[in-house]
Parts: sequence; structure tokens; C-alpha cells
Amino acid sequence: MKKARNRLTYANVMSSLAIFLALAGGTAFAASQLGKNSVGAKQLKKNAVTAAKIKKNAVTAAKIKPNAVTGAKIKDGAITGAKVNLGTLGTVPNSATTDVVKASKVVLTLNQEATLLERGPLKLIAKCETPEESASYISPRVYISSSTANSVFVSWEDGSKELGPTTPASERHINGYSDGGSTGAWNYESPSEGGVSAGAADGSAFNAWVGVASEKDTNTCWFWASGTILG
Amino acid sequence: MKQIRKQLTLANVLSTVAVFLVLGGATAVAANQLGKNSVGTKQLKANAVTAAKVKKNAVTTAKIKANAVTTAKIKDGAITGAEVNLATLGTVPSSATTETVKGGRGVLTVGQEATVLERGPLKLTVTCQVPEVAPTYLAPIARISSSAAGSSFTSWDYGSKDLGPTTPEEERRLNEYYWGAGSDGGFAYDSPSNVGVSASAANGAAFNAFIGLAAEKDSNTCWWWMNATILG
Repeated sequence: MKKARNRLTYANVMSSLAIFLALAGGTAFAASQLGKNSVGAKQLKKNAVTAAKIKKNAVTAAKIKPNAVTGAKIKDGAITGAKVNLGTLGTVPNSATTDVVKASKVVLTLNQEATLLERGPLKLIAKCETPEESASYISPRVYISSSTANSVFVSWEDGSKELGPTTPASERHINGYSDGGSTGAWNYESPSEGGVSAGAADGSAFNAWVGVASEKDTNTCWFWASGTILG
Repeated sequence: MKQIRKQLTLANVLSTVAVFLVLGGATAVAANQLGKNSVGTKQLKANAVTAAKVKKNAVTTAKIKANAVTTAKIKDGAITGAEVNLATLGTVPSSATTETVKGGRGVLTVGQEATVLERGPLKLTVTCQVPEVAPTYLAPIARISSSAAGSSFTSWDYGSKDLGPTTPEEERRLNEYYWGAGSDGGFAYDSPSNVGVSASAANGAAFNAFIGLAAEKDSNTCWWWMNATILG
């Protein structure tokens, strides 16, 4: 014991303590006191940065390499219309609808009306009516109207180069009262007979075709309209 | 000097080395043996995390800042239809085709038939035939059919609000045999303005269609051109 006490010199105590610190506790000590900016790329192992180590929103645009985002990295359906610069798109292969073609179909009962097609001030209107020309008919009548003066239209029944807000309904017919009109059973007319071309001063224009049918017995009218927008 | 050499015992040397290790070199040792969670943001040098240091798939959605993926970051051609939420798109400048408009044309020889349009249970066909009522003719006859009862159609020739699987063929014609039929051997024709048809089925399927037709008896050939607008 006395011998051991004799070896308890300052040097021995310090050396033992230092070696202990260096070899056992040194790592922890050093880790908690790593200097600011002391860990560089060389200190990081390959693949050392895992998801859990990356802070939320830490990956900013500047951190992403150009062309790094490939298709497989984008979630299906993630690209919404707001993200797409539509004007930069080329011709897409197909579309469900197109603004150049308009279509509608309606079934009306007596005295009902519906808009079949609208373009600028121009409007195609379907009316299921008892025509002034003959009270014994029910007629699937198609009219054109324009909310601005000096519109133009042509059809089998009527035509004008001064179609406007004051043009009487009787001068805006697209088909005759008996075209598809009925005095009893179902009667019809093909869309070929219900064609109309129209243009307005603001450049709005279309060609349209309306197939019609009616049945007096049930006071019902049918309309099938398709139009190509020309302006 | 003699005094110093006297103090140069093993213990003193070791203690000096040890202290040096702790205070001076410990960091270097620790760099290879860092403790768990010991390297925080402050310890990382700017740009220390290079691509090779990032584990595969480590950059998850939550890690990417909103709007960080700019155009330049996206590889050309990377965005395919699957990635696009099509329903949210506005009007695209142009499309090669559209589901709203259908078109087709064909050439048939006598006895042949072609389906020129199909929509739901509704079908338009053109048959290049010698009509029973006029054996000297070759007629391209357009017909409509429906596999579902309660369909309706209008045309120049026939129309019905009860078109269905049992409707006789002669009540489904859209044109007459003498339209575009070549009785004299030469080329005869009729415009699509005359062969228009509107049709709809109970399930909502509907269209307006127009068919131009022609026939030539000498070569037993028929031609058809169809365009249609889908209404439902």
C-alpha cells in the first residue's frame, strides 16, 4: 500500500487520466464539442445522409441538380393544370372535348325552351311550341338570335345580314314549323335540313346542324345540335 | 538541462502525450468514431453534403421545399401522362384528335359492309350492295342500328323513337338506293348534306353524323366519307 502511494505522483495521475480520456471518453467529449463547420464532405461517409437526417423543406431549388427530376420521381397525378405552362405545349394526341366543336341534345315539353349553342352575341335556341302557322302542330323550332346589331345568318328557312336584338322571332327561324313537327305520332327531320351559318360583328361565328323530332301525342320535342366554331 | 532530463520519466512523457491527444488530437480521433447524433447542423460545413453522401431515396417529399422543383430541374420528357392530373388542365393549344369529333372514310366492293361509327349501343354502317328492288343498281346504303331498345334517330329516309335490336333493316336506312347509286355504270354520288342523322340511346350516347356516298357499277365499288359530332 505504501509502495502504491509512492507511485501516486502527479505525473502518474495525469497520464492515467489523460489516457483514459483519450481512449475511452475522448470520442464522446470530442463529438459534443465538434467545432462549427468542422464536418466537411470528406468527413461524411458515402450514403451517410439518410432521409431522417434531412430537415423538412431543406431541399431547395438550388440544391436540386438540373434534369435531376425524372418521371419516376414525380408522383402520378402530381402535375396539375396550375403547374403546366399550357401555352408551351405542342399538339397533344387527343382531347376529350374541344372548344372548336360544340354539341348538345335536349328533350323539351311543350312551351319549354333551351339554348343549344352560344357564341359571343349569337345564340341558337330550341323551342317546343305550338307554331303560329298551325295550331294543330307541335313544332321543335330552332331560332337564332343576336344581342348585337348587324349579325348575319343563313339557313334553309330564314336568313339576314341585319340580325340583331330587334329582329322579330318570325324572321329568325332555322327550320319550318312542319320540319320535324308533329300532329300526332313521332315525326322527325335530319340535321342536314337544320343547318345554319352565322357571324357577328365581333368575329364570333359558327356552322351548326340541328336534328329535330316531336310528338304531339306526348307534347314532347327532341333536339340534337352540333356546331363548329368558326370565330 | 540536467534537471529537465531528470524529469523525463516514462510517466511524464506518457502524461504529456495523453494530454496532447485529449486536447489536441481528440477531434481527429473522434472524426472516425463520432457518437450517435453527434454531428448537428452547426458542425456541417456549407456544401459538405454532396450527392454521394446522400443515401438513395433519402430526399423524400417532405424534405423538398414547396416550389423547389423548377423547370430546369425536370428532365426533358420526364412528365408523362401518368404524372399529369388531366382533369385539372385548362385548354391546351391544340390536339391532334378529339373524342368529340369522329371521322372516317373507306372504299368497299360489292357485298362488303363497314362500320363507320359506333357510340354506345348505336352503330352506323355502310353496305355496298345491289339493292333487291333495283338489281341494275349498285348502292352504298347507310344504316343505323342499336343494340338497346328505346333508342331514337332522325334522318332523311327514316326515323324512330323506338330503334332497337328488333327494328327491321328497312326501317333503319338513312338513304335511298338511288342516292349515289351507279345504274348507268358511271360514278354517282351524294353529298353528306343529304345523309345526315341524329341519334341517341337511353344510356345517353348520342351523335350527329353526316355521310357522303358514291358508287360505280362498272368497278363494283362504293366510297364513303363520314364525320360525326358526339353529343353524349
